[in-house]
Amino acid sequence: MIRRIFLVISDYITPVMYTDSDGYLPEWLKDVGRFLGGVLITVVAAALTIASAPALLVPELSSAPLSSLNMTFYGAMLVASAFSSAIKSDMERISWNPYNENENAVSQSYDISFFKGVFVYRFGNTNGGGITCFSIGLGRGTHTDITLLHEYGHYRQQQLLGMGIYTGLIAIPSLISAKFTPELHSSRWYEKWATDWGKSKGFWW
Amino acid sequence: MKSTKIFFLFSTLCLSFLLIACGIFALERQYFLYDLHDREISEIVQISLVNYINPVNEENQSDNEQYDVEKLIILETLNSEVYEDFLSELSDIGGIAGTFPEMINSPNGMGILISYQDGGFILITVSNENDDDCIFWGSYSSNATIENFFGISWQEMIDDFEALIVKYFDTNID
Repeated sequence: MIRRIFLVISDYITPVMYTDSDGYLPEWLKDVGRFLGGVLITVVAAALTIASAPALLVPELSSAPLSSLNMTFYGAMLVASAFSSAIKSDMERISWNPYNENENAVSQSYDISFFKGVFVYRFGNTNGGGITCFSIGLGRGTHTDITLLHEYGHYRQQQLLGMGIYTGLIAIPSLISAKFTPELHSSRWYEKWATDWGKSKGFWW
Repeated sequence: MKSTKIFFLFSTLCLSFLLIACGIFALERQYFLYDLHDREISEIVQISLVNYINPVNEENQSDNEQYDVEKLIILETLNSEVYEDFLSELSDIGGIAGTFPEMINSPNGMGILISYQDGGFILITVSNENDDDCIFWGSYSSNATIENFFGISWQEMIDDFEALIVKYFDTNID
């Protein structure tokens, strides 16, 4: 009914603003909603992250602060989408869903994205590659799904081991291996583990 | 209790700073010879085995870097019926690795040329530079400007690439 009224009205007036494709809500109203929702999510998730921060170092319990930290980023991106068309377009690519499971939508993003609850930021210009530290960084040259899944595997290692063990056992050896023995890097046990785990559909294994 | 919390928070901040700082210098990089997401196979007009003769010009290095069609010799052209199989196998070569030092920044030697309808192309060559086998991968726009490239010495990738050429082309590449 409302849509009908809107369509009748729009026959008589000249549209002066961009509206959504269904004709239900003006885009600026959606932006306001996302902005306010984003502020709320950011504040609540940031408070949860700070409160649960000590658990970051505890194996398995680190999932809680890692999740809330990534939700903080989600809230911040909702806020930012009201001002940045690039971020809005990246968020639309994943239908605003932070638990998006479409690897291709993430690989096609330009600035930011979300994959299974994890914030993904894009860096650099043309090189493909990645790094995982709380969230996932993907080089802008990354168009294949393999790197994203591999980095997601590292994220799951962070959840399982906690940041303390992860840093000592995996992150630092991985960074050293990447720098000094690049040809052997993918055959290291922690890298194979990340690749296998990133691809697996199960919660833990 | 409060001091324990501050200690954990401080430790976490230090760890994240350390990781990010190290990560800037040692990223995991992906090196692939072909990305199936990049273009439709129907956009490809030709896949050829080529020899790109580009000896190092010490006096004028930009001469090496700029693509010159006159340096290119087409040795054999692939049958279009096997494009899909060939590209599928080509896209499997490479993977996630550490950051290789860039050894070369221009094509040289025997390799593959993938030409697109819009005039853009991908050129992959293998050459020996200072006793190291190097593979060059370059993506070019329609006006032959290089858009993205790497030139590294990754023996496993070179071996896989040469095996693929032997499998699909009749010309002897030794």
